[in-house]
Amino acid sequence: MKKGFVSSLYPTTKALIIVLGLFLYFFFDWRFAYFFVLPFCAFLALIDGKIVGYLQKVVIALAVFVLFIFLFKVILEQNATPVLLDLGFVKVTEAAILGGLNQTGILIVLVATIILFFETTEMEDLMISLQELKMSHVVSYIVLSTIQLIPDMTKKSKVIMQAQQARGIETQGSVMRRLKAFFPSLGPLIISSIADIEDRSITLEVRGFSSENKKTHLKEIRKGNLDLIVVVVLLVSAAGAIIAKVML
Amino acid sequence: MSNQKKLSTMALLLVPIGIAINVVGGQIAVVLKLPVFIDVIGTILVGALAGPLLGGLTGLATNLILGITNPSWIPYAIVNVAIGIAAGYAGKKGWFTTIKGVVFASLLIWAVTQITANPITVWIYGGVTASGTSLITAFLVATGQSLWSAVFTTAIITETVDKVISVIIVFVIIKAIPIRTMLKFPLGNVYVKDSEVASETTGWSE
Repeated sequence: MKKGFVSSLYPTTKALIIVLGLFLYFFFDWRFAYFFVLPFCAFLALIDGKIVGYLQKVVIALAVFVLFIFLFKVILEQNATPVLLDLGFVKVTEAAILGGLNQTGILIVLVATIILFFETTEMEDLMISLQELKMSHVVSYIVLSTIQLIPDMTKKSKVIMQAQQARGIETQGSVMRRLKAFFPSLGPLIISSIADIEDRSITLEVRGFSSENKKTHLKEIRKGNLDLIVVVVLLVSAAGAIIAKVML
Repeated sequence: MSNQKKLSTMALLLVPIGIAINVVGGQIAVVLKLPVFIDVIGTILVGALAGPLLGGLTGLATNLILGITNPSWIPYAIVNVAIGIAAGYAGKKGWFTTIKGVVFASLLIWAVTQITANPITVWIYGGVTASGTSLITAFLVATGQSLWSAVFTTAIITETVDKVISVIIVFVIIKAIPIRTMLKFPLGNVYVKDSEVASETTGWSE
């Protein structure tokens, strides 16, 4: 499967989008977030062939927050004018909508850029690029093993919960009863994971984990000419935008 | 007996497990439909066993890794870090060994949570926490309270129980960890009495 344009870029190149997005946001306002950053990132996801997954994730991440924030602003700004919509028991004022847009702006930028980044970057590649920047391999291990560990532990927790239910632990009913079911569900998982640590530790040590020697890599990724071009284009555009904003 | 306990592999391996516990704990709370989040047990546990640095790291990494799929939560990373550091401090002071200590630890962690989380809720999320608690906040604001005091009040009502339960769970878990494993953690000495150490070691030198 051929890699999309954005996916074949070096991770730090793409990370620049996140940084610039957040940085520029402070020079502009919600219009930058809604009318530029979001469509731009969606466009990049589109040319990369990941638009569906991207939009799904963005909606899931933002929907609840944005909705609640707007509702809050509406409740808070009942007395401002002009009123856009009068439903009797609640008035939707222009101040409320503007307030909502401004409040959600930074979240939009954060979510749009970060989800684009992770949709087009494999964790492995990200870790390799960070290690090139002298980040310790320990951090790579922690991140990668956590990502592998979480689904693992979720499965185990389901098994443990069923086992405990078979032993008569009640998971339905009053709050107190459900609360009492929490520890028997999580406890065994934690204890067994901690007991595992010793074995894992030995396994890592045997493979030279804490050795200070330079490590060789199985997989390597390189920056291409495209990366240079993209970085230059991004930085120049950002600088141009700031200058334009300051001059006008 | 020289133990490179500062950043030993054992201590570092606690971090991924702490992160996973945070995530799974939160998931179980949802499955059991509990009114509390209980998603910082891992952070507190790592802090208690390995100190403020690794506790804070667990907190930070949890939010960053969760942030991969849901970046909306990233701003709350500071809260998780603060909790980890507080738990580490409490661990060093041996607060996870006695009931009285547990009370202190709960208070400290609760206080730290309020100080870090509420400003973020107000500034970045406009008072919203994307859960049922926002309804309480909305109600308080509608009755005339300022946004700040509404957020604080809501948090006091909902977060207190959450943090106390989390600390108690960590306290119980620590008691269940076998001595020989406990001794290998940076703060292991806090939880194991000297008499127990003597009976556990069999003459091998570390």
